[in-house]
Amino acid sequence: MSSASAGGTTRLGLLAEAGLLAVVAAGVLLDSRSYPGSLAEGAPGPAFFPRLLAVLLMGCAAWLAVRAARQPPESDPGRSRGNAAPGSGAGRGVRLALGAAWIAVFLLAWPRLGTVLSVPLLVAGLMWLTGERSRVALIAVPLGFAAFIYLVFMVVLGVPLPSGF
Amino acid sequence: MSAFLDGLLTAIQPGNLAALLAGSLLGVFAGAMPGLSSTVGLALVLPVTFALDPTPALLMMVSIYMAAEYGGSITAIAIGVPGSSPALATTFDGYAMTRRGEAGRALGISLFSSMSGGLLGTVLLVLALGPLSRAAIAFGPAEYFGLGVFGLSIVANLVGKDPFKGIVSALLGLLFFVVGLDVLTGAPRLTFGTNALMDGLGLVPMLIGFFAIAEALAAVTGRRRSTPPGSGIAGALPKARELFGLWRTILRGSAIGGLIGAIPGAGATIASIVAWNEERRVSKTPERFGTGLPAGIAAPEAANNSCVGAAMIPLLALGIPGSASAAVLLGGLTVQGVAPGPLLMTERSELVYALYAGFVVAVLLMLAVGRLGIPLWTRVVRLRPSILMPLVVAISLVGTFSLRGNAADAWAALFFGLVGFAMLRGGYPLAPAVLGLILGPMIETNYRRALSLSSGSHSVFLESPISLVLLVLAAVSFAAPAVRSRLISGRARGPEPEPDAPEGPDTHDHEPRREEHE
Repeated sequence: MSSASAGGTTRLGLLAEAGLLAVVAAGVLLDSRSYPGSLAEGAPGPAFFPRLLAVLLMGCAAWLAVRAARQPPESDPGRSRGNAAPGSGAGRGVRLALGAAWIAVFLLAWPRLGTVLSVPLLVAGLMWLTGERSRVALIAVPLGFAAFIYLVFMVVLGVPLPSGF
Repeated sequence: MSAFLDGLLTAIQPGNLAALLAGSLLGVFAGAMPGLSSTVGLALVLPVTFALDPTPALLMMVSIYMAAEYGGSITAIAIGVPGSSPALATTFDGYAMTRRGEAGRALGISLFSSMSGGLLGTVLLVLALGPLSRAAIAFGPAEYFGLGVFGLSIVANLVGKDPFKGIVSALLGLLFFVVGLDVLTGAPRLTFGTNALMDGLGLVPMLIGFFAIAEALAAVTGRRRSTPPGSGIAGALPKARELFGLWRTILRGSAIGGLIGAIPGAGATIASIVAWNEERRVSKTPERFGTGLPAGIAAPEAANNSCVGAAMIPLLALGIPGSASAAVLLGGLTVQGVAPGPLLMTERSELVYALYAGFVVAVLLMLAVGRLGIPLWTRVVRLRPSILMPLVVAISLVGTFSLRGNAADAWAALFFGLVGFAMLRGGYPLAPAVLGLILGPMIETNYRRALSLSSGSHSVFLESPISLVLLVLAAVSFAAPAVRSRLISGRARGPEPEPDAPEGPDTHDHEPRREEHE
């Protein structure tokens, strides 16, 4: 496998990665202007390490851009590998967004609904998104798991998890 | 010897034995649950020990500490998610064996290696309390900087086929460490005025995000399928001959764990990764590491359990905890009115010998609990991903929250989950980023401290023999993969074999994790 194609990255993907790294590095450099670069007695200040990292990341971004420029535009390792994962790329993207959004909704609702109510909803939603269609499993597993969490964390270990309302 | 026998008699009194057994059960559970760990398990049980006498209280805590180090390997092997950070290196070969339908064998190797490492670490604790603690206290900022850079140089051997992406991953890990208040000056860095970021991005949310949430997101997108339910999953434990055949690996791993564990701050995570890397380095087939080699499990597991005894050396001799778990143990000692330090051996010798014996009994109980539990643990892998992964996410988020009772940690886990998923999709391995977050504080803080003490002169890193040796080793370690690659390409002109193509039937349907393990 050539280094350029490691990880199955296309030319556009490499450019996107380079751009992302450059943006992160620029953000770090901008933020580091607000804290001192050096201290007394010649010791580096709090800005030294983040600036060093930002410069190194900039260099990495540049190298990725060079790699992208060297890579033939038509190469797309993702297609040639015969990946057996089901579903289209767009479908996967939607499911990924839904999964992440469901976890975020859980984190927002957790303090208000409490652990016993919100954990079964989280589990049931993720099970459905992951392809579980058995109604028995979609009901029994989340409820059983919520009981487990309640008993182990809240009763036995006494962890103050959100109780809601 | 008679003092040790007295300690053993104390440790096996019914009340103390019950405390050790409870500690083993809790420890395996805490270690196996992503989001919990030996540290969290110890912290959660600390209030319970208030009601106990000093001896059973401390025996329960050492038993939790010991068993949790093994427990972390259970989920690392069964589902590819390290239950705790010291089991990170175990995922490389352990999960690969599970994907081949050899979860029982992998768990058996892990248990035997953990037991051996735990016993050898205890022997080290008994024999080397004085000399090693003196060596550890000799470490100053320059030496710690050298140790940190040496640890980071392991990245060069963790990065698989594209070292460049591994280095980017390590840099990102170092950058994640920068978020929060600067340790030396208190200046907020990369917090963007947000109070929630002042405490920084913790290791546990990162581990949970990278290894649990990212994995679950892969399952949601259909990139992770079930482990093949081979008939040998539950029953195929390793043969005794195979276990004893690993004695060199276990000895090496235990020695590494013992040495690193005795150095305050270094910890079991670094020890287990160094042990895995050393095993790979001395192997005749290093390219097969990460594809499910028994030695790739035995080395890190022996190392992280050996660390437990070794971490007690500076704790008992000097009152300096060798790890976060040892710091919680220090809290337990203090609560019980026991002051660790040079006078402990003379003033509370009966307690110290009971602790020595307690370690031995704890290791044996861990073996019993672990062995009886293997059929149960291996059943975990038979669960459908559509059931298992949501449960992993839920318990990970609950465990992350319970760490500090802070919802920000759970949000951080989600953030790292998305970052981890994206990195894996782009072919960026996650382990270097984790190592960057762990080693960042050691490298930056000690670099700045050393320069502050030397008025800005970098010669301080070369004047210390320990620092110099560590930095030279780091340079060699950084350069080794490139040199090896050049040598191989210079010799071989024919088509290069695919050295680490997984042998199991799951070759193509686990893309993100495969990249990680390479």
